[in-house]
Amino acid sequence: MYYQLYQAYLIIQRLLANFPVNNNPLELRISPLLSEANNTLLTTLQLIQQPQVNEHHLKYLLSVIYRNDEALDPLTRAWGRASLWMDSASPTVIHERLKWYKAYKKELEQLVPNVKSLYGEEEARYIVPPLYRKEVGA
Amino acid sequence: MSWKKPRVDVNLYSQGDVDDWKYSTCNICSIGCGCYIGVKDNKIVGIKGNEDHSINRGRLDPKGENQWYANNSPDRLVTPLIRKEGQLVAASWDEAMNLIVEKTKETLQTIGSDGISFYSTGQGTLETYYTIAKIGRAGLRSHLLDANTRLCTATTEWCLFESFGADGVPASFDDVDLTDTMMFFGHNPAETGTVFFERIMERKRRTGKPYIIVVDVRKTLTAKEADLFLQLKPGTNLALLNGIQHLMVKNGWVDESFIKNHTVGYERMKHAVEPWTLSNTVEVTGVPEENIRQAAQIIGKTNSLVCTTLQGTYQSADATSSCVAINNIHLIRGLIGKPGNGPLHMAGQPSSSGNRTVGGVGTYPGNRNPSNPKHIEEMAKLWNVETSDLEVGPEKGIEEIIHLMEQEKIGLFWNINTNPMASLPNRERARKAFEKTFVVVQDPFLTETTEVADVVLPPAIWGEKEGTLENADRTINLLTKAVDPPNGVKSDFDILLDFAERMELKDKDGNPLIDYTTPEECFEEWKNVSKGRPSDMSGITYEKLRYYNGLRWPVNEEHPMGTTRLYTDFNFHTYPDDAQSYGKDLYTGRPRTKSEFEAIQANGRAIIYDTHYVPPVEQPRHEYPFWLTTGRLVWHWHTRTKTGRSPYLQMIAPEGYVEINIVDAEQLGILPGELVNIATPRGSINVPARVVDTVQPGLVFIPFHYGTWENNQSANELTVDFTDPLSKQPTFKQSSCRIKPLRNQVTVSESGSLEEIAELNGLTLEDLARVNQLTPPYRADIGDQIEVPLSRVNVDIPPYMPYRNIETFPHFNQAYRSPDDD
Ligand code: SF4
Repeated sequence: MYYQLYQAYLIIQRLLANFPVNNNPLELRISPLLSEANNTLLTTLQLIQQPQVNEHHLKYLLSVIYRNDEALDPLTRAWGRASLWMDSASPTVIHERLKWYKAYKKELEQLVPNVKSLYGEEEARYIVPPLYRKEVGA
Repeated sequence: MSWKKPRVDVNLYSQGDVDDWKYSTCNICSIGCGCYIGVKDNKIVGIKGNEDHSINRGRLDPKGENQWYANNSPDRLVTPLIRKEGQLVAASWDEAMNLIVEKTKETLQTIGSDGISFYSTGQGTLETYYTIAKIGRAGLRSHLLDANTRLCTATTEWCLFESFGADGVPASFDDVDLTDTMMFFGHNPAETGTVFFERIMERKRRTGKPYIIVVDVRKTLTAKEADLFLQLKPGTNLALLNGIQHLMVKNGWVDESFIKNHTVGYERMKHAVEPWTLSNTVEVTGVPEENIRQAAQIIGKTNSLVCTTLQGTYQSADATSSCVAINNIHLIRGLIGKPGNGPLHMAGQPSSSGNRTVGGVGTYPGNRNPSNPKHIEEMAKLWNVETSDLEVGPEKGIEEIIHLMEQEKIGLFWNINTNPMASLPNRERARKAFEKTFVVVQDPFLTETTEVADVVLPPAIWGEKEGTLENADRTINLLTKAVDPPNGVKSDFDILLDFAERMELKDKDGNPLIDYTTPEECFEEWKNVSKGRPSDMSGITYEKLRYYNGLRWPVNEEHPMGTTRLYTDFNFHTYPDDAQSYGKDLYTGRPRTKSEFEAIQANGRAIIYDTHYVPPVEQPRHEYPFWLTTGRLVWHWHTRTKTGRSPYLQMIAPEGYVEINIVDAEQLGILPGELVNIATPRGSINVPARVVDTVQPGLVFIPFHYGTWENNQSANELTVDFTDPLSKQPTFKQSSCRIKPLRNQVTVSESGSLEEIAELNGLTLEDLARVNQLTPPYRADIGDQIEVPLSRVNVDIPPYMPYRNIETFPHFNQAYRSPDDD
């Protein structure tokens, strides 16, 4: 779990490093989400390193991480289209950022088995949104 | 009481008397007018208004009167079609349904349950929607149930969740009859809910009430009747509402006691609107200071207020936030749950709210929260399935589903009675996505969407099936079957039942998942599902609906005759285990967890929000200097699948056009009716120009009805596919574009003077001079290149204004700008 969360945290750091890119209005909405992802991931990383992990708190933090990305993901894709159409950032920069957003989502998907093993299938459904955890034939 | 006198509108084409007049409800828009269908020899031959129905007292508008032509249209599909070697060819029902079943099973195996998506409609019956919900959610365990209601009323749903904890518009049409003040916010009922508007204007003529405030970017027919019209810049709805809230707070036009006892969140809202001073609001919205001041004062002091919203709000930037701001206004004045008061967030289609209520789209049936384990358990018990079969979490909108199609994560897309290839924004992108998926289209006609279909199923239409509809004010109305559908055609409901049987969908005891066989039996099951929930319909029967001409939910033991307005006890659905949703963050759209919702501590009180303005994502700039907005005409419904088949409606408004302000037309040298090219980064179309004063300079308007692939007039070739972060409703109303007249070049020669060129091209010399930006005296030398319009047509479209008894008065000036305007 630590590995994926840490990788996710690094990606968010990278995304925050060059933000905002073009002050497109969508970045006004993306900004608090990136900050929330950053803070929540950091708190989660600290929490899971404790000798006694507060599972209730961890469940809340994980729920926030996934819900955060559920909102972030469509906004970033829209930002990508808007920026290309408005010609307000270089296509290379746009595609690069979109790649990192995608990679972030992937990390969260890879985290799902850990969440399931920690909380069980049924409870995990209330932590992880469906499109991150659906398995083929489910 | 609605209407002083009845007026029975009739549109009949029959030789001799009709055999029967069958009880029904208009199936076009969300007003829900009662009607009778004229039948002769098992054929629909006309319609007349139901004078006993309180919604319309016999009145019908042109769309309502002309809807039945589609039933008899010779191009009705009467057999399923399957695509073979690129062509749609006739097939039997067995072939078509077995192919769908095969694809469904294959998708479940290869992609999983979220590889199946239903995309239905706001024009269907509650019974069809409920069956989609049961099959889609319990049978196939899919999470991806959406509908064209996403384009229409998803914002209604989300603003109601946010403020009141559950769906259901607080006010009703009866409140419209009582109120002192009405604000139509981005809502043009004179063209989109004509009978409803006529009802309001009839009272206004009689009594002088209500005082009407209209907020719109265009001078619509509704705006023409306003006492106060606020014409704002595109995409600034929330800025205006924040400015109004600011003035209300500043002047103490608030009900402190109501706020204290029945709401939470006021302080945050107060803080958020602090910067929205009058001057800031004027600067952002472009509305004159005096108008904003007057609006705030009237809203702040009126004894009663009904605010309506529709697509000008829902399809704009800050959609949900703007509707929530309207809820805020009602809450801080305590103008809710009382006669003549309350927000009345409208619907577009005749039963879009119904789809949400019974769970065909949005949350689980009966306003159940998909993130609340207790609600999931209740549903599992009611449907007798495992809780783990029912997916958790808020729904996904069509934009998300298109994204999944692009990634080839959707194996089967079942499109029911909607035409997304004409109605979705940025439709070229949507088309490419659809082409990557197995698409089933259920439609009575070949449409733009059947062109990307793999299977087409021909369903029955209005008058050929029974069931119930839910209109914009929670009224459940009855549709009865007037005639049999054409041979070879089945109702949506029967098609779904057939599918469930072929799929052998079972409950957890191995019994058929769907055991009802008629819409009425289905409605009886739904009544049980709804019992005890906000949309309780346990007290409804088909017979009662017919006898009382519709009933407003909740209808139960406590309210056997229905409920005129919600929240009369000021008790809102915001207890965590009552709420239909835990809501989302209003600014980012991030879904809230249960504990976050609990932390608001609303517990029966309404929630007032701080609303923060975010400008539209795409804005005019050098390359695309105009705002583009889209919308509807009084003469057509959506993509004209039905209204385009009425000779009368089609003759009046046969083709697309762009409305451009006189000032802009002059600057670009565009003549009225001249063919112009409108381009955005998504695509371009060619349409004639209507030169008008109803759109503001810098803005153009294109009706979205004209979507054929061949004509190149589809507004949705141009629109952006950004969505509201909460409701996921697309922002159709704000894109940027450029306009270029389409011209031929003519060379001036000895035998072709300016006058001759003008005459040859059907122009006056002045027209030719305008096109070429020539100043008098007009001269051109031999060899000079002169431009002439590629084509020019008459794009006059008459307005429809029965409430003024003036049917031919043009509501716009198709004219050149007068020199006096300078
Ligand atoms: S107002 Fe709406 S429901 Fe009434 S007749 Fe017109 S289209 Fe039909």
